Amino acid sequence: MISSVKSFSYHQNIIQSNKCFTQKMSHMERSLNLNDVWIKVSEGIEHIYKIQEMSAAAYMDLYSQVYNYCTNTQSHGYATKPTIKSTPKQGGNNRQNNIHDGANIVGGELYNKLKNYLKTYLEKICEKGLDLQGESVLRFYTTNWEHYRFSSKVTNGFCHYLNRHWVRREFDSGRRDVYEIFTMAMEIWQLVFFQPLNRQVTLACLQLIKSERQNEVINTRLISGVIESYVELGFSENASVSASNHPITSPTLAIYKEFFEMPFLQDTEQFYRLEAATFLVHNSVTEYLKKVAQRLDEEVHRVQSYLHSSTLAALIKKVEEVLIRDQLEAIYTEAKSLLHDEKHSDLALLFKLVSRVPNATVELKKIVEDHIRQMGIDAIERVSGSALNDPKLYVETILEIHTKFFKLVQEAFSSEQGFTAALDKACGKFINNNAVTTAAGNTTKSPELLARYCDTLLRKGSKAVEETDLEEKFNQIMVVFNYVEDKDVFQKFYGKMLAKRLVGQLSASDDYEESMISKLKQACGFEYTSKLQRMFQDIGVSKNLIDQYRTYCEKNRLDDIVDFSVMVLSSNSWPFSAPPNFVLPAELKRTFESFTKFYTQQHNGRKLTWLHQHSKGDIQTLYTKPKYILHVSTYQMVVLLLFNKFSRWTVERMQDETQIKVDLFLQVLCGLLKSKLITCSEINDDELEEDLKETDVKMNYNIQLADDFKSKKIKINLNVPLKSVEQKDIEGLHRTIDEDRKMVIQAAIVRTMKARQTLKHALLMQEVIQQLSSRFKPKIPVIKKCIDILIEKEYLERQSNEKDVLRYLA
Amino acid sequence: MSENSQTSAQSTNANNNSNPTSDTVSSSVPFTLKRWNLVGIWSWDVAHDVCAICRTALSESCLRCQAASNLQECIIVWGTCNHSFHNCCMSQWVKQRAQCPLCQTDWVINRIGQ
Repeated sequence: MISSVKSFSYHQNIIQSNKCFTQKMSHMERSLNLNDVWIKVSEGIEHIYKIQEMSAAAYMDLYSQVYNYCTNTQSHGYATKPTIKSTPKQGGNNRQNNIHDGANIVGGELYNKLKNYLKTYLEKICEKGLDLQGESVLRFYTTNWEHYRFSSKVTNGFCHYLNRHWVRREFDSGRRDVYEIFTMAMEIWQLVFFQPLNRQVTLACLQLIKSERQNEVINTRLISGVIESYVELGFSENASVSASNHPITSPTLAIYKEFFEMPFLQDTEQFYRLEAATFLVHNSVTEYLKKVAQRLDEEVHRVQSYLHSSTLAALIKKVEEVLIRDQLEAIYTEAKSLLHDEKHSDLALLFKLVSRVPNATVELKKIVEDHIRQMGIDAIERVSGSALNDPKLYVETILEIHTKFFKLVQEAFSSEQGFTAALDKACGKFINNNAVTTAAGNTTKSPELLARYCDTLLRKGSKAVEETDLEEKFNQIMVVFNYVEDKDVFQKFYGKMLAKRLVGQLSASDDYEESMISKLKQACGFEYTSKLQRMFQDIGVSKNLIDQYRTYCEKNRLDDIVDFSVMVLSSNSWPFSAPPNFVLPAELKRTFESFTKFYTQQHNGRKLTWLHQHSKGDIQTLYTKPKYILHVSTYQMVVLLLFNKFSRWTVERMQDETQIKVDLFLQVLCGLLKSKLITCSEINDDELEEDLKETDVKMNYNIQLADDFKSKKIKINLNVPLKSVEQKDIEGLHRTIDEDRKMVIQAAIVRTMKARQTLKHALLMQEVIQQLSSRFKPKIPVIKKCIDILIEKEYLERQSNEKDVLRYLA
Repeated sequence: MSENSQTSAQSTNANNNSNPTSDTVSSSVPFTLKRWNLVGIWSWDVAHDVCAICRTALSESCLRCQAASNLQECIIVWGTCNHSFHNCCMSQWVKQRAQCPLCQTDWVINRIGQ
């Protein structure tokens, strides 16, 4: 005993210095009796829970009461060595035992008394609230909660020593039903106050929220008080605590989730399900969507202002499910009509809302794609009659649709990737398959018309577009080009028309030509445009050649045709074939032979072929006044120069003299007859006015020059391309496409097989289609045919044991 | 374009010089030639279209030049046997054996394309 007193006073000294204890308490061992302590403490608590003012001194007194009580026997712990850790027992009555049990710390009795006090205290208050409903129960609950919570914080404060030592020790020894005083107070609240009242409290909250959703103004403070309480009530014991400063309990949202959030979400679902149903009866879907957007904002605001933030995700998900996901059918239908009415801002809202629901935009994309495709098909159908032969109309119609829907995707769908893809898909479909391609009977009509449109833009004297717009036009053409499946067809037509422009010197500008080619090169690679570039090179080479020939003529003093020029092109780059030969008149022959001689001296091992269908010249009429200059094709020139020999000819003799093939000769003759430069005594003016056909001109007819030829212009262009020839050209190109493709497919097959050696039939197909997709879509029967051809040519063989496996033969 | 205007300027010059002759002609013939623009294509003067070494058309570049995306002219060589190949191909070939791949006669260059 003595030692204990001694050490106690030692302990007291520390406290004195630390905590400024009053002198009178220093030796009061008797005051450490539990009942005495409790009298003081319970007085204090009563004070605290009435929310009465308390002086700092009084608070400190309470603190020391607890401290003194707890440390009363603890001092022995320092005197006797703690040996065995026995299960601690509660209460100050064990103090005698505690002398022998150094590990024991006093506090259990005080803890229990506190607990019981709070229990009785709350039970008394709770009774008053049991019959309350609505706002009054909320007011009752929150007011008491605030008081209780505050008071418990204070109580927790002065019980600090108890928390730190007794509670801690108990907890460390494995007990799980003691908590720090504040947490204990929460536990009591939950037991005594929350259990009987939560049902009506939650219900009242939900009613209030419902009123707010119905646009009534509510006192949100009432709800937020309840929510705070629910949140604070949730705690769980930490499983194992090694560090001594680690808290015993940690907050959880279990109470909040179970007793508020769950019913709240159920209530929300019910409310909005009803609202959706009733609202849609009286309003359009667009109005409904506006309402949904507003509702979503409101709910976010609701969580922010008085609910726990963890509810946000679940709440919004619920609202989205009820208001959007479950109404998707109606929304999709609305999307269709909004697309039809071009209401971009409404669509933007619709998209924004639908994209909140997982996977819901898939259907929306499909709707957009179908709509664009249909609009494209309709637009082309409307103009199909004339667009079949009007490249400008056709391409502009496509561009109009594309521009329009590009804007739509931008404005309504924020250019989201999936919708851009839908636009691309739709454009790809309607550009390659529409009324015009159906009318033409082939899908290659689109690239043909696109190439022809390029031709009209790049030709000299095209007044269709101002120069400043031309680059922009090219860019637009490239937009359409990228959608065209049969890029090989475009290449063919473009090449053909470029060739004609270059040979006929009809290009508006080399810069524009090069610009367009470089755009194509960018889109399709070097190989796609290599022939086009070679053509350009050839023109340059030809210009040098003329210069060289001129110097050659001067050197050799060759007196030649007044103005002779020549283009010599390389045969493999140009899509021209040589026509059958004919007899050149003496006027041309000398020049021709002189140049041929020059050329063969210049080049070794080359053979020249002449493209007279592209040759042309000027001749002057000497028999008229004024003298006219006639721009004529070489054929026309040859026919007209016949009259330098004789002034009258029969058709038969003319043809015999020139040796031009009969059908071509008659075409040329018809043209000249129509120009009225020559006349035929057997054909009268009426027949001439009506459409004169080649078959109308008989071989025995007589032809002579029209002496009375008159024209308003001095320079007359007779070299108009024959319509029938152009038409045949186009048809011819389409015909060669299939043959050319077979070669390309075979090349692709051989390339693939050489790399793989053996490959399954189906895989080979796939590979070939993939390889060629940037040029055209090969048809499967054609690929099969090509494989058969290659087997026949012994490039491939079928594996004997597996029929569907092919092997490459080196 | 500039080429054209230049030539037409020359032509008027030439026209003035040859005026007396054309006047004398005018009495007898109705037409006189002012300008002629001839278009032709050239190809290699070969008996076979395909190079027997690289199996591509002689009118095109040889396989190596095509693979290298060579825009330069890929020329042709003729032997005394009158067989022709890409010069690129043949120069590789003769390193191994100096005979024509087609007729097995000793390879002697007759001419090289230009």
